Amino acid sequence: MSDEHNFEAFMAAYQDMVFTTAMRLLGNSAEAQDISQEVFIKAYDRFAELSQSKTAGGWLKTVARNLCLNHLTRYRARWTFFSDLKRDDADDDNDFDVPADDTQSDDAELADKRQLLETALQKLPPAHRVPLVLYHFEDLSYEEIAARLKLSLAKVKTDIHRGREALRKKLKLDLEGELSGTVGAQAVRFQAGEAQT
Amino acid sequence: MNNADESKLEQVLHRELRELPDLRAPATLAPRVLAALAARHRAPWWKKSWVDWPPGLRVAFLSLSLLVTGGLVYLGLQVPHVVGATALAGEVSATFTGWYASVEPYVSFVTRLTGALELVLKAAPASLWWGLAAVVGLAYATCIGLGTLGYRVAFNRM
Repeated sequence: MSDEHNFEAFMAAYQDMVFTTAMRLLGNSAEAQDISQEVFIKAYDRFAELSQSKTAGGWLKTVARNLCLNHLTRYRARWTFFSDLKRDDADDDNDFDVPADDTQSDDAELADKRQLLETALQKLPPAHRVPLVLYHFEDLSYEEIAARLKLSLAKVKTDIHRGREALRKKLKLDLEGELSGTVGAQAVRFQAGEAQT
Repeated sequence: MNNADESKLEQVLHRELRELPDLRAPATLAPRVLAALAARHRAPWWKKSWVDWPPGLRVAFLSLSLLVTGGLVYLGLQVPHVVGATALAGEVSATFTGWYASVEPYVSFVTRLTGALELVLKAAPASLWWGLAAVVGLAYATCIGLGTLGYRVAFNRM
C-alpha cells in the first residue's frame, strides 16, 4: 500500500475524533473543518513517525486542541464581549451527524438524549463552552484552563458553573434521583419534549 | 444550588458528556485535506518553506548568503581605511547638517507648539480634565451600545 493510501486510511481512522475535538471547542462546523485540515496537514509532515506511533491519536487531539485554542485566543475580544449576550436562536450551521447506535427503541432514546446534549453544548456561549469542554473532555484542571485561556481561576470556575447550569436548564436535567440516592442508573432524565422548546 | 448539588451536577454531566460519541466528520473533510496536500506538492520549490527546498538549492542558498554577508561585513570594515576616518566623519557631518537645515523650520514649529500646549495644560482647571474624561467615556459607552444594538438587530438576537 502506498504512503498516500496509508495516509488516507490514517485520516479515516482519526478524522471523527479530530473533527469532534475542534467542533466542541469552536462550535462552528466551517471553522472546525479548517482546523481539522490544518491538523492533518501537520500530521502528513510527520506521517512517517506518526504511522508507527501508538500515541498518534493523542498527538492529533493535542494538536487539534492547541490549534483551536490559538484560533479562539485570536478572536478572544470578540467572543468574550458577545458571550454575555443571550443566545436563544438556533444556529443551523452544525451540519454534522450524531451516529445512532442501534435500532432498538432504548438505543434510539439514548441517541436522542445524546443529540440533545450535543446540541445544547454547541449552543452554549463560547465563554462558557470552551472551559467546560476543556474540563470535561480534555481533562484539564481549573488551573490549567485558567493558564491556557489567560483567565483568572475564579473566572474559569464561574464560567464552567454557568455552562453546567445552562446545560442543566436546557436539558431539564433532573438530579433529584441522584441526590436522594433512590433512583438507579436512570436517575438522570432528559425531558426531551421540553428541552427542544 | 449548594455545594453538594454542584458536585453532583458536575459528576452527572461529566459522565453524560464523556459518553457522547464522536461526531461524524463531514464527507468533504478528507478530500479537502488531500486537495490541500496535492496543491502543496504542485507548488514550485521557491514557494515552499526553506526546509522543503531541494537539498542542492539549500546548500547553494546558504553558501551564497554567507558569501554576501561576509562580503558586506568585509566592505564595511574596509571603507574607513579607503576613504579615511576624518574625511568620512566630515562627509557624515555635512550630510546630516544639510538634512537638518531642510527640516529645521518644522522642528522649530513643533517645539513652539509643544511649549504653548504645555502652558495651556498648566493653566487649565482640573474640572476641565474630568469633563473631557466624562465626554470620552460617554462616547465610548455610546459606541459599545450602538455596536451591541447593531449586533442584536443584525443577528436577530433581541
